[in-house]
Amino acid sequence: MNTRIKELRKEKRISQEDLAFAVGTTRQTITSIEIGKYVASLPLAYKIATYFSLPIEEVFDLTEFEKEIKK
Amino acid sequence: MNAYTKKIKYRIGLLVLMICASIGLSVYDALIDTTALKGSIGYDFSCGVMMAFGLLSLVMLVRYTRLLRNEDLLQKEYNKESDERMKSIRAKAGIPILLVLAILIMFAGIVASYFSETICITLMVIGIIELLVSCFVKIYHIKTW
Repeated sequence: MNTRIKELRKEKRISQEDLAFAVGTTRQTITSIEIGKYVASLPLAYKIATYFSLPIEEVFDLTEFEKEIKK
Repeated sequence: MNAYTKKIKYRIGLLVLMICASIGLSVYDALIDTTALKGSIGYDFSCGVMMAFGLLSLVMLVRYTRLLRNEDLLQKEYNKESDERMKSIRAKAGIPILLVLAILIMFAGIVASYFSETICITLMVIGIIELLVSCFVKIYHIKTW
């Protein structure tokens, strides 16, 4: 899953370590989320989005999940 | 965080008990005549394991005591232990149950050593292989996730 976390971090000039500490996770998890290897759970995604004061949809690219919905 | 601090204090208590048990057994070994047992694989292995547990407990005790003095370190440790990705990796590697099984197998090996050295060595090798396999699976998932 694609995310804008790296871009948002650079805007705020914070490291992965600082973000990890703030949202209660590890730097390795933030790295995995940024490169799209790991999909964050809802609580973690919410914490990250809240940290950046943005809705979840603006931090995480959820379009691939929308395509999976059969209407 | 208060609950985690209590957990750390509980662990410190257990580690102190482990260290005391390790020292107690070492003193017992040194003072009491156990020549009948000495030289057997099971006895030597269990002495080694006890000593290793004692040393490891000491290292962990120092580490946990440092954590309690520093809020930031405590928070980082809490984040590391409750990290969802690592919890999933540990679950995939079967770490909780494999550790328990490996310890049980090694304990069975120690008991079996008093009857058959072949069975003892076989069980210990199985325990070690189990731990190694779990380790490799964990490393694989850490790299791919």
